[in-house]
Amino acid sequence: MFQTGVYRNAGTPLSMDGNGKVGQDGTRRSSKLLSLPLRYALSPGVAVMLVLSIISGITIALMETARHTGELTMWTFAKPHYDIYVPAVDEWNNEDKSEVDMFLIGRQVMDRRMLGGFLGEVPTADLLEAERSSASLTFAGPLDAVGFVDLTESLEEEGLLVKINKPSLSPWTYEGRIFGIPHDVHPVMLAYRADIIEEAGIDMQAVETWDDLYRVLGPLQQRRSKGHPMDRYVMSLWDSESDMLETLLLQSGGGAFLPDGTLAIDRDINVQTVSHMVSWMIGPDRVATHVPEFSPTGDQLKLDGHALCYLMPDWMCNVWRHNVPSLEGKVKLIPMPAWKPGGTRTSVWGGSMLGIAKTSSKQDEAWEFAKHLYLSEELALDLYRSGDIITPIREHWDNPVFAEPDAYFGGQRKGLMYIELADDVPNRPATPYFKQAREAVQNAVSRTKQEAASLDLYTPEQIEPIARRNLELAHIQVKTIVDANAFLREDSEEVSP
Amino acid sequence: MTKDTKAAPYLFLAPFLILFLVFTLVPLFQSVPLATQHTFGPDASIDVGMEKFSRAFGDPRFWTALRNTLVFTTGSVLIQLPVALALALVLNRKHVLGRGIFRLLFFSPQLVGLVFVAVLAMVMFQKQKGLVNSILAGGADLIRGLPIIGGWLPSKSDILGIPWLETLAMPALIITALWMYAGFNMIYFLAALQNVPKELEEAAMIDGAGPIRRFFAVTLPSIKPVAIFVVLLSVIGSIQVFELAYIMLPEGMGLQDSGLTLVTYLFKNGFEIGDLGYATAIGWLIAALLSIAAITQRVLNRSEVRL
Repeated sequence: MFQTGVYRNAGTPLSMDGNGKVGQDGTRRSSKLLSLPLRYALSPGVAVMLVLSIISGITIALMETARHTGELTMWTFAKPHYDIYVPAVDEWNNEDKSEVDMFLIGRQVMDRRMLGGFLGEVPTADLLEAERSSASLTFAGPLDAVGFVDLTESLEEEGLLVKINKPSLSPWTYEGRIFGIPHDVHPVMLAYRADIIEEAGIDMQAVETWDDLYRVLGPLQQRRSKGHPMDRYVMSLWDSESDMLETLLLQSGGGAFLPDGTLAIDRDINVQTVSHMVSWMIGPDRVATHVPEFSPTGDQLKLDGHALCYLMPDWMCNVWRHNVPSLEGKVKLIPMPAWKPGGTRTSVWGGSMLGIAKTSSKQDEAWEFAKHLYLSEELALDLYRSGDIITPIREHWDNPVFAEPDAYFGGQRKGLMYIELADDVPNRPATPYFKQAREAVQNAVSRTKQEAASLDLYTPEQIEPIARRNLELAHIQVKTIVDANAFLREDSEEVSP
Repeated sequence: MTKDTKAAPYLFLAPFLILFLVFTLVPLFQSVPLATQHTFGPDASIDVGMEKFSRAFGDPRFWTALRNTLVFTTGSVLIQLPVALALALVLNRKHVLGRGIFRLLFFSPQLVGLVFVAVLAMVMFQKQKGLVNSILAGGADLIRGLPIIGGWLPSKSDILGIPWLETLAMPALIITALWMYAGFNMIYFLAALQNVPKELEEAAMIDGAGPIRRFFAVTLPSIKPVAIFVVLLSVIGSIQVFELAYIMLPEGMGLQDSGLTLVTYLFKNGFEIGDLGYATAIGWLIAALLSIAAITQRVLNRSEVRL
């Protein structure tokens, strides 16, 4: 009885009759199968599918496809960059020079296409504007396998090296060779809710160190209660925001790598910085909270005044301007508080560059266009006006546009303030492992935070042993990845497939 | 059979076989040497033997990913399938009002797709303003005044700050997968329930069996082949989980690797670090895991037939 049930559940095979027996005319039925496509060729279902496929096929054929008529191709991943470049590209194309087609493509798509082009000889663009995490992927092999053209000699011979803000070259400099022109400087300042802080009679100009900041603003912290519908903390900083953690580590003189690219996650300065950061995030007197960037939740929390201070690279000014316009006039900037008196008052967050593909058959023309695009004053001003981005070309910094008051930031001369910090932006070595290191440090901070909180250890001194252990583990984890790169071993013997 | 008739099955199978050969079998064979090399594009590679496999066995993150994947799989199967079966049992009853609408509602996550569901879930599980924490905080407020329980409850700020997507990634993923797939599996169970012989149910009822007895003695044995099939599909799908975690979690894995799964680890090694050899080795280990799941299902099915 039970087996019958199972058999029935399995369904009746097509070649059997209703009683489950093979028909006498099995051969004839099978041969009918061949005529099935013909018999049903014009059935309503097939007809509908046929009509749909014809209509969609024609539609796709008639759709406007990307124009590809120029002699040079450029890819960029950022819509704001693309919009800013359009006039410069049009101007170039109106002159009697190699015409350029510029395409906006997604960053992850660009990563794949770029690596495919460099490593797999798939067609790629002549010029590629790459973000730090994308460009660094090309530095994972031997020096001569980097897919970008080495621009070191060209930059030196044409006197361009002195024109470019030096720290801005560091993410694109691999083993002493420069593989791209920097797009930006991206110094970081501290944004604060001037409407709340100034109303309380606090002068932020007196803040020099992080300790000053928390001492001065501590009294403005609030806990949720009937009178206060929202918690309020001094600082927006959390272990889930790896960019913020990296920004603070770099400011303190730490970071996952030494200037020469050597992995150094577990060095003392990182242990001390992480201990301090964690002490801000835990305990009854915690001063930091999580206000995510690029998120509607985060924007609402900014409006609610959930945090009073935020790390603000130059490009983030533009994000705030568009995402939380109602904070216009309520936000102001000061240089980042230093870790100790007299210490560095800025850091760096983000960055991209323009490189030329080795596979390009028109490398000289691509170089001329790259200079036209990235070194022009007009573009530098557009970058600032449209994107709040400071150009790395130092000779343009004297332009009066950078001294214009910015209404969003309470009339401050924001451009000049960022430019004054540009020289102090920390160096970041070019390494294919920076993303893995950043993740490992983030996990170390998160584990330290969890362990310290569970043990009720809240001061930096108490937290330090936990931070050291977790950073050592993070160091080992990333070192395993680096050591697995057989190309970096001295005794490696390269073979071709 | 004529010559044409003999060729017919192969003709029909040809499109699939050609695609399978080109896009599955050939890369599969190519991946064998790849797992023994460290590469940088097709022109630069170094033979490293079985180093990639031995590295996996000594890699704590691989074991974390394996543990997370097994937790997700277990959670998915143990929670999702009973819920799907319960939904199917309820919606299989003719007197349930609007059961067609309920079926559509439960199935609807499948209609909008995984990415959409993952994005919605990501918003719902956010701290401070997310729906899940807001509901929990609201619920806690309701019972906060009660003796004993009220004093035990965390503060509203703490509840609103529950870090689902950061360090509680696995529960968030399992709940989202439940939302996504319970309705889908319900359809399988509904189809199976509609094939349960009525005469068996009636006979059991006449013999005095109550609803629970009838479920375990008649319904469950009748739908067992489908249930085993659904379990297998769920296990295989869960072992391959990637998109949910990739979209929902910071860096695709949450903090402290709390949501790192095997396929996410494969992806990160292959496409973020560029170590295709290690990614391939992990791929083969996942294949071994899937094979074990499939063989187990086959063994279970065989023992089922012997019954």
